[in-house]
Amino acid sequence: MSFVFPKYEAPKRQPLVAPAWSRPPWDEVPGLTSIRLEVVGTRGSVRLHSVEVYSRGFLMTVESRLPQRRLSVSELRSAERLHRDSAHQGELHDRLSVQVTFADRTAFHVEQAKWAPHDPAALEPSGAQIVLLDHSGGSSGDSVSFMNRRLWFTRLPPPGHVAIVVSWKGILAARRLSFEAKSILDAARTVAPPW
Amino acid sequence: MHPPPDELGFELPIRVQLCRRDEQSIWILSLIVYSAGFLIRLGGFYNPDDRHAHPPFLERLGIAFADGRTATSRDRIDMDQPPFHPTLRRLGSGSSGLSRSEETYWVFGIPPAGSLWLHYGWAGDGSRRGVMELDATPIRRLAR
Repeated sequence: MSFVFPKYEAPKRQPLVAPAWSRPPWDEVPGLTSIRLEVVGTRGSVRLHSVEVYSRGFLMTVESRLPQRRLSVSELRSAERLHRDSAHQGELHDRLSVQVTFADRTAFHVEQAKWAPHDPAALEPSGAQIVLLDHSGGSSGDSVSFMNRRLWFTRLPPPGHVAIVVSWKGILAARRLSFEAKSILDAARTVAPPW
Repeated sequence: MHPPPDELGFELPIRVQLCRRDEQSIWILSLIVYSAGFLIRLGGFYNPDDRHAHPPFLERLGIAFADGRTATSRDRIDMDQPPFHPTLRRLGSGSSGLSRSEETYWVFGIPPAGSLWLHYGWAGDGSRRGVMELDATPIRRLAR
């Protein structure tokens, strides 16, 4: 009886590496803005923040927030109850709809953002893209349940208004927000080398 | 132990380099100021094409107010005692989705007028200690 290990063959290409167009450049320290926007309702709120600007695109975080009821001791003892509660909160967060529209009418739907392809050779689709870099949730101070979506916009906006429409079925009626693209374009000019 | 959940906070972009070695560096990107304290957002940059490189993280961080009060990220916090100012706590760190590391620290307490010093250590440069001086004035203005 003998054991023979197959000869190791190095992978021909790196899996799980996103193409350069689908993420911020690693060799730039982003320009920053003070953009922080919020829509508040009685059943939940939505925040847009952490806008970081690179030479060819920008990052933005869209955060949905729901008030979280403190569970009783008996509820905390029930694993099934906890699981059901958590799944329900997740479904509520997934109902959020955010549309971002540049002055040239290029529109992005946050809820349709896709993960970056795990193939460094994947070609950039035509037109401006919105890529989901991170999707994470949790609770803060056990009174708020939140879900963050870190988004990469593959283009900088043209000068003018950036219009945002937030709607959240069953939580928030449609609301409009806006900010000036100038703050992003100004920040893009301050990108610095990291070393 | 967390920013107030009912406050949006004000983002104060400052973007200063804390430490650097070869193709690695750690920067303060911004402070997010609330009525009771502020978040420090750090970004650690590295060359992801270098197989031996890792996302850089601070080893330790301390803060000193102009009136002599101090806190470090390694302080033990007694949850049975009322909180004292300042308190420094690392809220999160990671590197998902980006070709860099991210760290967030929560400072409970608004600094008095004057300077604010950040003391830090990073294994990437042999754990030498560094100090960064910041002006507390914009933090105090935004916290009001």
